[in-house]
Amino acid sequence: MNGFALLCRVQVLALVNSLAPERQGSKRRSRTTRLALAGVVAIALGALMAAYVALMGMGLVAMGLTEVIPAFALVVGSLAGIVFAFMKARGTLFGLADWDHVMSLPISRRAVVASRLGTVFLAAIVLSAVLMTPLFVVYFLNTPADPASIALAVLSIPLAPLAPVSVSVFAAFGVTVLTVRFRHANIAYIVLALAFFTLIFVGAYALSFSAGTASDPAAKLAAFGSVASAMGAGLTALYPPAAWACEGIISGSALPFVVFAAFSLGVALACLEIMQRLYLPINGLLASKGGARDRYTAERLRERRSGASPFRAMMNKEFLTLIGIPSYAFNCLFGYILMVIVAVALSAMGMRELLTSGVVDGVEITDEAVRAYASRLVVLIPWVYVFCSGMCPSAACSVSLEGRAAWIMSTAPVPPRTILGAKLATNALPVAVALAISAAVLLISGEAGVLQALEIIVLGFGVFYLLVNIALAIDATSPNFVWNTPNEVVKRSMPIMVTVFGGMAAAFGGGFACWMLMDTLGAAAAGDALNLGLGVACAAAGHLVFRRLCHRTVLFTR
Amino acid sequence: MNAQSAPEVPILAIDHYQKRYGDAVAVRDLSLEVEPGDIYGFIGHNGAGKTTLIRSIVGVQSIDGGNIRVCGIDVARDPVAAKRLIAYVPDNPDVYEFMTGIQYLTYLADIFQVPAGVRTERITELAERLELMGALGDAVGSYSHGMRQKLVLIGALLHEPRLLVLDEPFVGLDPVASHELKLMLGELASRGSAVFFSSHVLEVVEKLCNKVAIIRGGELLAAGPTEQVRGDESLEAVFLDLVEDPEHPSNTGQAAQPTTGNARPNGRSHLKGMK
Repeated sequence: MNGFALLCRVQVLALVNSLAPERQGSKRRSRTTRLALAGVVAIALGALMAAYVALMGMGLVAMGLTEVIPAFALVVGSLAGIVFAFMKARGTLFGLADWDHVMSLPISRRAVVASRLGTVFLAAIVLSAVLMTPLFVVYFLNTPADPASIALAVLSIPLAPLAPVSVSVFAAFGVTVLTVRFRHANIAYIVLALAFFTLIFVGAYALSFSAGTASDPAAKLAAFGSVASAMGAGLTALYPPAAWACEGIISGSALPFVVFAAFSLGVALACLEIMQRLYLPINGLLASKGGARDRYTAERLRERRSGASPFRAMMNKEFLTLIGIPSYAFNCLFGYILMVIVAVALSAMGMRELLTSGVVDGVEITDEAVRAYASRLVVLIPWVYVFCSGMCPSAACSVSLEGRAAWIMSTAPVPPRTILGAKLATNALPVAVALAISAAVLLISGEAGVLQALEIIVLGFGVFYLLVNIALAIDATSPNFVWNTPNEVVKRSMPIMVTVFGGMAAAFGGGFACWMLMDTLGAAAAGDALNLGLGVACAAAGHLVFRRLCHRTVLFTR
Repeated sequence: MNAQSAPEVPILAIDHYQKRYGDAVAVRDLSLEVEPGDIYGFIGHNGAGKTTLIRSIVGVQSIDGGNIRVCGIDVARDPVAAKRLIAYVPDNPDVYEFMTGIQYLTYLADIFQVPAGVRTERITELAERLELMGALGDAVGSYSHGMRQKLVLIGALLHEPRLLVLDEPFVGLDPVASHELKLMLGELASRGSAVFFSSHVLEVVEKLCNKVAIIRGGELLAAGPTEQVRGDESLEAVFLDLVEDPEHPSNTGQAAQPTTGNARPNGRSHLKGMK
């Protein structure tokens, strides 16, 4: 038990430290400050999420659907940890960096697996608490509060995610076992996971707009209400344990809740038992990097094509990095998919229909207003692409991502311009292509004119180019080569924050400024001019930042 | 191991080199020269400053004082030209894990602009000698420490460097590979290049190197032809004698005098002069 407690402590510390990872040479006080800052950000995000679901709960109350709230809470709480568990299982339960060390400890395998699985469950429970608590508060404020019901609601919070998270762990295990046998296991894993995320995104998007075809606000509300009600019934039908828990919470009856609790705990214990039995085979398979390998021969070497220039070789290497590190790919490739999804969605559904659906960001937009401002609304589309292109920040952390192999970059007989240029080009070229494809889709579908299509490319690329060069400058000036997992630089580093949040801020701020300009001058052409001018100016500024960086940077590893 | 010709410019010339980490001086006022055909051993205890100097030679870190020239090219002023002549094998062979062995070697060959025919010939020869050919199609992530070390060695020798710098190159190598590496270093030196490497294995340094330098606390204690540095004793005895000498300035905490080790036949006498 002592060993188990120690392992749990290590796992929790690792989880906490991952929010503000240690950096080479950082002082203890600065680490404490970063941890405190990360804690404040996490609490702020949690508060935002809680406020958002509380508002949704109040919306359900306003629609007279108070009895749906427990089902909604249980479904949200159950599903919240699924993506997290899927992503975290690989690296926490299998494919461990410290596999040899962990297995050499005088602690039972069951304790090792329990401590690691426990961390995944704990994170999911925290997330479910953030999402379920506000919904239950709203529910009990609007129904007679029965102590038994309240107690069962509280108990449901840690129990709700257990079964879905277990299933998610099995899914991650299945995908890993499947993909590790392929020669290009990482690519297979990335493709399957991106398909999974795209499906979730498109599903949520379709659901959001499924109630929004009516033009009369009252009809829209009714339609949304019936959809919410159907969703509640449908989801509890899809996941019966949620229905058992709901029955217990609503009626205060213990029996159905005990069945729910037994089911949830049973699945979690089964997950522990199965995973501890599969622990050695899966990790052995991952440690051996898959199945049988081809023996390389001198003949195959002679068949290889001739060489490339240093710049092209470095670009190839950057692409290999992108598909070779799954978390890097997930973080930097989804923006490209999003660009195309937005173009296809706008083309398929029609911009005016989307805008009159009444559910865009919860803002009521009347048909008359849409007709009056249609030409101006089109001018805002490029700002959506500013948002999307900010989500493709592969160059932003590419210097730090060299990691302990950074000596190769530092000893390469090429100037910083070639090294940084290859990193930038590997990011900028696909962004330009994705923007061009999106603009072409919108142009062909008639949702955007030639000018707007051009604005999408110029503004989307210009703002991206400036932001990513600023981020690259930060990364090259102060790189972190001593990370323990790539997540430390591809998800939580300052350069990534600059690109992603900079893109968001630019999209909302720029879109608002553009709208205000058009409103003030009374002409959509003013917006077009602003978009094109700003796009070109940002691209030029980005290039200046890059030139300055190349002249000043030496790319030492220390 | 002798140079085929005697060029005027040494392959490596370190002149009053100094490196600090914050307030701490890691290496102070160190000078030495490496001539073509030299296999130069660089020995010292942990934290003596061996890796610090090596990292500055190969351009991985900055220089705080003095200068380092490779074939007459100042490493700090024209790093790209200097790096074209150098190959580096670090103490930890960390390589991009997502690449296969052959992808890594092709990448290096492209970076150093090794012609296609030449690279194929060299990779084949070196990989077969180090028994790595069969694994070149596998991801580096699946390699053992020794296999990574072999891969980095092959990559270092691909462009026929004028100066090969190695930091603890024998760690992790199996006996066969270790033997092959010694032969390869000798062959490279016999073609007019130079090898400069750090090691804790004094027997290897004594047998392999024609010149040796001993560093302690960031100061050069002795440098010169191996026979002269060790005199009638073993290199191990000389090393222990030097680093444990309580009267030596580096051991008494006195300000260091400029130390030189220009690889001229002044080894033992130079060392005595220091005392």
